[in-house]
Amino acid sequence: MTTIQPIPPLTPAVFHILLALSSGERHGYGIMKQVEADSQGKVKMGAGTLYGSLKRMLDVGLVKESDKRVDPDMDDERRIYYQLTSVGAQALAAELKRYQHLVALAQERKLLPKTFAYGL
Amino acid sequence: MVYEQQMVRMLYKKLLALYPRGFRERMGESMEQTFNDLCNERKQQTESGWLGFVLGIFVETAIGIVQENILLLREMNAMKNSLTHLRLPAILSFLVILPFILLEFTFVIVKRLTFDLRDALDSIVIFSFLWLGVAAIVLILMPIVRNLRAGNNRMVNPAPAQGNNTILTNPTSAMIISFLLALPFLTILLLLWLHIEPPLGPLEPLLKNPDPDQPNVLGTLLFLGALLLAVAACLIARVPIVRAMQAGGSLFAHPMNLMLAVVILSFIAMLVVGLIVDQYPCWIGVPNCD
Repeated sequence: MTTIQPIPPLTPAVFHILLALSSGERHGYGIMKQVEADSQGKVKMGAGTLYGSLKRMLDVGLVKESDKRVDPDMDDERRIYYQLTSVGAQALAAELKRYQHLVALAQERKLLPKTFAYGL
Repeated sequence: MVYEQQMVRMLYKKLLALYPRGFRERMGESMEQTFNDLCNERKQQTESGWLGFVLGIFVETAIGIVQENILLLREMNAMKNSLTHLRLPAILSFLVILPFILLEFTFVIVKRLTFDLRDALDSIVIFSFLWLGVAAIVLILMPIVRNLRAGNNRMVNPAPAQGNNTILTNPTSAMIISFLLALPFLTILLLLWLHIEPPLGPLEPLLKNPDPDQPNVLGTLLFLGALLLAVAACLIARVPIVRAMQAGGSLFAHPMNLMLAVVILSFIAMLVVGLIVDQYPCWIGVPNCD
């Protein structure tokens, strides 16, 4: 497995796209819908943002284009699918580890709701 | 509804053409498909607010277009010669006037108010002048802003610019040439704003249209020519200023050239603003507007 150099924090758009692709390859519209579902409707990505981020992710190898095929749940138009690469998977894992550390820090400082001392 | 859907899909495809070529070739097809999917989804959910939804996608995509073009510009280490890079001013100015075009499209075409060929020609002329005016402003200001951001603005005597002076790089000759080129445009605008009727002599039958319903083609062409000359004048006036800044000098190294460029630029800006203010009621569907 290719080991990546330490990478800076991902932008929210890139993070959400990687997260959406972690459960399987998707086309652009599918990524948009998955991002919305993952964030419980709080993050809605426009086409400009999505494809701008996808282009840069393709350039650095975080994702790659899969085959072009029909989505059985939609019409019979052939769509380009995107999938996570191993580099992308590692970048996502590194980012989630970063979030894990921040959540642990917040718990330590009793900053999270449902913490005994929260709000006092 | 089907007609409008087909039209917006066509318009979106044309909008995507403003992306840089590499981006467009790689992502264009996917973007088009996603746009179609979003429109279909929205249509299934509700028919109300569909145009607003589409407008939102257009705006968001337009922002993406600007971002990608700026990124490309940075990668290219842009603009040694602004005349060879007309694409960015053209795209930026088109995106500036796009909301007004969409307003007219929404309130006039879609709502099926009276709209005939004459109206279409008038709209094309007005938006063309607007596009040209905004593009000219961006084109004129771009190298100056770039040099200012690069920190070349020092209030000291500039080092001599590299290379031999030509008729355009010599500040005095550049100023004289640009003044002469800008004179028609400045004169026409001053006469219009002061409501002064110039003595047209033998040109009067050609330039004064007795039938207000007929387009004044010659007058429009003359005004266009004057505007283009003014833009060229401002670009020429700007040459010694940009050269001085690139050599490490100050923006104010050639004050007369700067003053002339500012005057011409102000007139162009006033034309743009005046057009927008004058035509805005028509774009939002105010009846009996011309």
